[in-house]
Amino acid sequence: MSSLLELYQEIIIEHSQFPRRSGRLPEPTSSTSAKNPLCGDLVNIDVKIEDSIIKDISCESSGCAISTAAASIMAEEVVGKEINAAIETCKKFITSLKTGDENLSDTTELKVFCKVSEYPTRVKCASLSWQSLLKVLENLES
Amino acid sequence: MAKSLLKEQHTESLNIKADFPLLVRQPSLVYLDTASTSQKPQCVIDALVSFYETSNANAHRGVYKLSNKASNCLEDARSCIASYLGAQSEQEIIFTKGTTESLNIIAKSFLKNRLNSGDRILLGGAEHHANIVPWQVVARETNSVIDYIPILEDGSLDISSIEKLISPKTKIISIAHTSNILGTTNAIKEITNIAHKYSIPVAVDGAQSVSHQEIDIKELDCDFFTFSGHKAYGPMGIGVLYARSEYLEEMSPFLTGGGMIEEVNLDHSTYVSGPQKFEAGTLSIADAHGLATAIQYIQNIGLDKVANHERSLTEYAEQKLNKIEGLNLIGPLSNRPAPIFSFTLDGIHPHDIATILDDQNIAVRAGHHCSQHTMKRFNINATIRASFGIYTTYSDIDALVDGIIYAKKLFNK
Ligand SMILES: Cc1ncc(COP(=O)(O)O)c(C=O)c1O
Repeated sequence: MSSLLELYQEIIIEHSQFPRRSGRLPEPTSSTSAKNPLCGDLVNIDVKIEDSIIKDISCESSGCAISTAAASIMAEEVVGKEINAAIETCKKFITSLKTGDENLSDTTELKVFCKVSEYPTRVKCASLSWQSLLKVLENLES
Repeated sequence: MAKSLLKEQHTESLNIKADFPLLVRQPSLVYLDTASTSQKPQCVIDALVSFYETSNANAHRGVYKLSNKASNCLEDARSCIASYLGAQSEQEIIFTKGTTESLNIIAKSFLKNRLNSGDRILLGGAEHHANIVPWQVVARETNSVIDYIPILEDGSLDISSIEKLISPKTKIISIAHTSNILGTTNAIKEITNIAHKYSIPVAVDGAQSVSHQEIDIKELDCDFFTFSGHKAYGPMGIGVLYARSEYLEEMSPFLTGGGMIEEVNLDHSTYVSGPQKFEAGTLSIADAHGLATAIQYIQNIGLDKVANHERSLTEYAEQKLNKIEGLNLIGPLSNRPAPIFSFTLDGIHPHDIATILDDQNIAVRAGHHCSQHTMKRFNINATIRASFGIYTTYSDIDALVDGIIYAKKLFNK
């Protein structure tokens, strides 16, 4: 398989066409939005945190397949996690985008994105939602 | 049948790829981003090397022979460009870094001196950011206002609205000759006719027209004309500002320092007249020489041949792209004046397409192309843009079309 086909695996295409946890939350405890001016990618993230646990999360994204799928997979990945654990997941994922190190990711969904490291102009697309969520969570912690 | 005959004739009559070493060394590259920057022919690369090997000295500074040679090289380049553009005199040709700097000079050294609070600047509705931001800056500094000429659905400029938009307060009209997104070419002559009835100067951003069609400033009757060498088969880092001589004399210096002064006293200086007033510091003579070489190169091919070749490519691409289901061309659907195609594909983001095309070694641009307001005008965030030059072939266009179809398959579209 060419690395392009690996990048655009069914997982990414499928998540981009049917994003999970998409839309806005009615009563978020925190919200953030982020833009990638180069691509015009835009993502709004709402989280609902109770007792240091991410009880609910939702992402509203408009952008390329990679950014939309990254947000969708992120939402599924962190929901139910304790804040510190989620911060850890975010950090590992963002590092794996840059280094291409598959071992940093636990799930198949996350491993798919390691291929993005071969397309430096697209790393921003995959990391946009994760960077924004990380900032929100770190602010809550401090 | 007729089409394939046409194809053969053109590839034979213009076997241009051979002149471009980058394209020769990368035969599998399908370069469709000439509107961003063109590739450079061997003669231009040779001209740069030859200048440094045989003529390198600073111009206008030494009495020795080598310095004279460098000065002549620069002035020959100026004359070559003046004659290519149809300027009255080479004294109207200022060397700059490119279109962006040229437009900044018009805004800051010419228009700003003429602006009073409440004055107005009229711009095209689909300009490159380089033809918006400098005007916004001087408008803010002088409390002036910018008006925009609307863009119609087919990408053309609503020329009929111009007369309604101008008033005695309008101090300049600045407009692209050819749009870097829409592939439209604006009727500059019509615009200058209207503007000059009211004594309004007209600046033309020629970044996308020079080297694709014959330019005649006298015929266009514009007061300023700007372009970049690197989009016209010339080197990066050199460009041109043509200014009608009466305006050029009126303009205040842009950068100041050596080379543009007549006399320097401790408390004040006087400036030289002519283009040198705007060429403070050491110019890149090698690049000016390279640009003149690029212009001679396309003149030798013949601008009518260039235009014919690009027109046939454009027609061919138009037919092929219009057949792809879910592909939406921005701007005219047919008879596109310039070889620039911006489009979207239903359900696939431009950046995904560009990555998939890149994997097949097809270089296109994706994004807002330095014109976010044009994207807004057409209710989109980004487009894919494929643009052609003299070295583009029919098989390049076939590769693009095949690449798009492959991307659609990958996305189940
Ligand atoms: C219409 C137009 N104007 C201005 C520019 C800016 O040119 P440069 O970056 O060479 O200054 C461009 C380049 O993309 C352009 O297409």
